[in-house]
Amino acid sequence: MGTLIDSSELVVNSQTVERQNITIADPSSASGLVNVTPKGVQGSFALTTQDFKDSGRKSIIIAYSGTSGITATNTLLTFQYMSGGTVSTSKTEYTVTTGKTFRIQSILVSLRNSTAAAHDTFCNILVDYTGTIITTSSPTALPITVELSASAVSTINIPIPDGLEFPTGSTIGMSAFADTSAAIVLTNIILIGYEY
Amino acid sequence: MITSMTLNRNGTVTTSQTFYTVSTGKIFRLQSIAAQAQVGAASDPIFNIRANFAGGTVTTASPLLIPMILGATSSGSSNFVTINVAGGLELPSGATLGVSQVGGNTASTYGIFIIIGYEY
Repeated sequence: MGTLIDSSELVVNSQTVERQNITIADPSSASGLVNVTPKGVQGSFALTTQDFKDSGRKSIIIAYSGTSGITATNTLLTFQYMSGGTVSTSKTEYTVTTGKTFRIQSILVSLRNSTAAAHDTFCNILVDYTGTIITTSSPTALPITVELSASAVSTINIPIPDGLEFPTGSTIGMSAFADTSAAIVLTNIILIGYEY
Repeated sequence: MITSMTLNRNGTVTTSQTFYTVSTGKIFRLQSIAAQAQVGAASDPIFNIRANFAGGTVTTASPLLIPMILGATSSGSSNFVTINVAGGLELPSGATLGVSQVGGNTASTYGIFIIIGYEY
């Protein structure tokens, strides 16, 4: 059994009143050992820890994909989401599960401009913290403007190392438009994250 | 069609895999995806990442996790798509992961498609 914590002396009015060693062991392990090791030394046994955000997390992917052009009018996008392995039917909004926080880890936006002129496109991630139904007028959490050269493709990936969090009951949607009604194809908007 | 893949698990390489099964008692944390295709004309080749959280053979009808559409405006290379998933996309023990591909035209060939992650 390894000693993990050697407590400090409890001192009252300069008098040491108690000193107690605290040991932590794993009773389910044959050895029952945990290690205290100096810096830079790999121990044979360790006390495992886990952040709340990594405990019981449920993977969520919100994915829009398309091969036809978007228009010059801001339009709500229809997408599917995957929640814990189950894929939804077509939706225009995702609602964060009651009692959970939704943490977005990565955003992908891909576009194709098959016209002979440069164009601007505008992709909006819409989030309503109060849970109101998403419309094109909903608060824009992320306005992603992509300038496309003539006959060009563009992919933008935004990794978010510590996550972008939305509270329980929030509603999330997407809209997009271009500066022309010509064929600008929004091939993907993908939000990857999890609830915890 | 389902894509045949090469799996490198902790240094051991296995070819011709149509899906990957998360080891029993482990969680698979997907960290990054990279994809690009070569096309014979302007088109939209598609890589669909599919997974059965409950396990079982991955088919073109399996639940769709990530539909990746690689646009190309002319003959040559499609856009190069990378997705970095900070903190990881997790699949549970026993889940199966595979990739299906569609289009874009008869002259398309599929280039790089890499999924990087780890089990813990």
